[in-house]
Amino acid sequence: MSKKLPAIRFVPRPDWQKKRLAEWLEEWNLEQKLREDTKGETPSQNRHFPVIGAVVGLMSTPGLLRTADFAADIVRRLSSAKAPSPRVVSPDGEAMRKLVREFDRPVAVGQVRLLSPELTPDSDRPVFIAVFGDWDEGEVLIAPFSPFSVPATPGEWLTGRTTPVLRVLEVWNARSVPNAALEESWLVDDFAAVECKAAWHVFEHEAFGKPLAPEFEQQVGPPLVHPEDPRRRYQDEEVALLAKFQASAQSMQDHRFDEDDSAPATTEAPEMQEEYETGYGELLALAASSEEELPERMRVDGLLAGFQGDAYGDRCDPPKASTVRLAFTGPEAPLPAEVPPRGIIVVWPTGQTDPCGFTYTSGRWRAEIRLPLPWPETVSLLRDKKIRIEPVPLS
Amino acid sequence: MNEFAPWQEWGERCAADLCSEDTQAALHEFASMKWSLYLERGTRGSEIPGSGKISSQEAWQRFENYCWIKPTGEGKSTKSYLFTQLDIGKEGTPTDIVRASASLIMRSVVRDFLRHEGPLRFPGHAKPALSLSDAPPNSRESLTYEDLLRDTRDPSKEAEFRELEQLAVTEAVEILAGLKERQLIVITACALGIALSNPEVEKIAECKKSVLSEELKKTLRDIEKRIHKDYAEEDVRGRIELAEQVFRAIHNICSQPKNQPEMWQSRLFSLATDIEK
Repeated sequence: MSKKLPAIRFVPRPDWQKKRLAEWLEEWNLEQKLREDTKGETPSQNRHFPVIGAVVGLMSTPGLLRTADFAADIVRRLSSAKAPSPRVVSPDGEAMRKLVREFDRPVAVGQVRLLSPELTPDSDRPVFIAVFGDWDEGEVLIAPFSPFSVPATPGEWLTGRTTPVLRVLEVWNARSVPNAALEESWLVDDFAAVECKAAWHVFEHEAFGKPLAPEFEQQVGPPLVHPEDPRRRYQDEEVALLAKFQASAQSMQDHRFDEDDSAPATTEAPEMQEEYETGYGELLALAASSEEELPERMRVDGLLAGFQGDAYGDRCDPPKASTVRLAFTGPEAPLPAEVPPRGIIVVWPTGQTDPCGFTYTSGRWRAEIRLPLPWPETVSLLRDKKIRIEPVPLS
Repeated sequence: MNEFAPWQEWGERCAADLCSEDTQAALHEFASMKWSLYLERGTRGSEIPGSGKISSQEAWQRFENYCWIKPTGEGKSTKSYLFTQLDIGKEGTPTDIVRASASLIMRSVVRDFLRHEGPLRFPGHAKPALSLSDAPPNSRESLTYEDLLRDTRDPSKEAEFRELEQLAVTEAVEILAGLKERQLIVITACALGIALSNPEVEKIAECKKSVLSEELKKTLRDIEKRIHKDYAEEDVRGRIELAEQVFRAIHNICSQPKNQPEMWQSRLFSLATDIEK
């Protein structure tokens, strides 16, 4: 006899989401078609697209199995080292000066910039970014523009601009970078205050789960829930094309981080070259993520008195790790000797991290803690308040 | 005329219209060639009437229009982007390098054209707009685009969903109790994030990674089949929801340390700890 399920019920997605998904997919499919046979045309000889999760279909279709070829379709990250030679015989210095504008400085919020190709060697298009918010001291929040005319996910915002390369902002791909990391870029346009405010609003929705204002609801893309959705591959590509830029920005951040304090650094270099294998754990992580839209970031202000911060998944490999970043936010920045506590561990029901210390930089105490938990699981634990931070002595 | 000269002249001036005739001809020819290449690729399988072709001058103008943010030096920084490619250690002649980058931009120009103007320019010939009942390319046979946007949980049924989650835990416990040791090993290894290719896992399971990988796939398929069979009279969407919850529950159960673990469990947990370190 057939077993019975509880009387659950589902609500259909609105039509505009379906229509927008169809439009985006049409552009994406066209792009795939146009990419065929482009061997020799891509600027980088080592172009590659890491695939995260897109190879595993997660029981989304009646009677179908979702386990086809786990490992077979995983594209391993390849080295993006530049070809060593032969060196181009370019026009001489004088001629080059006529062809290439000098980079524009200073960097400020409210700018649209074009990154130098040296920062985006794996990109097959010029990468335009919007500088739409201040972050920590000396840092700004930036996001790249999508190559498409339709927002792919709820983290993409339709700017209303008609310029083809500035129609959609990838707010989900936003990152904080030191101003200096953007110095090798050209200022191409202004990003108006109202645009910055709108991008910030979508960012808060995407990162911290703040409700989206009604007027924005149809200015963003449809939710991304299925592990086989082609938009996951698109996101992987979009993250990968900023890999070198991110590594350079990270190194500047680490340098600043280390400058003021001799305590051991807690940040880790991005593991962009690491190989990984997919597995059941990732399937399950994806199962968790397929339940509802997963936030890119979560606020974790209540975890440790005096500190605010956020948690986010490893964008390159969401099933693999999460990071919690904390910063002290007392009324006045404490002196290095005054910070409580000296060390902390993050604890959850089935494990804990190694003790980790704070470092003092730009007037704040900071810690960045890597959790060996898939991001969907971290989200779930944070929502259920099952993650806590405990002070520990540091040897 | 040196083959880089047209690009250099264009780079130094505001737009191709202000360049010499020879330069304009060379740039237009480049644009026309790339336009045709991508147009053919993007419309493969459709018959494009002659009227769908555009002049070489229009092809170049579309390229410039796509690049320009605004009609100022700042707004034309894409030119600087193209010529900076010469200075970052790429292989090839300056002409090859600039053309390669410009070609990729032209690909986007054609994509935009086909997407937004194609149906107007090629009435009756362009591929119809995508339908959500189509299957994504290279996907499993019966997956459709519509599956990508599944219905969401009805919030008024929260209590029933909790009940479903509880049911999933019960099912997971029952399923795990019926699995053979090797099946449990692969599932636990994966829940702990240990690759099946890890030699220690091969030793614990006493077989090769390829066999383990097959075992994993088969086990997952069997679990799914079982759920669909046991709840055959229930709505498909409900069965899918249950299956997902069962997999989550299995993951949670398998990744938690046991009070009285089997030998293989102890070895896997200590392996996971070593890997983490």
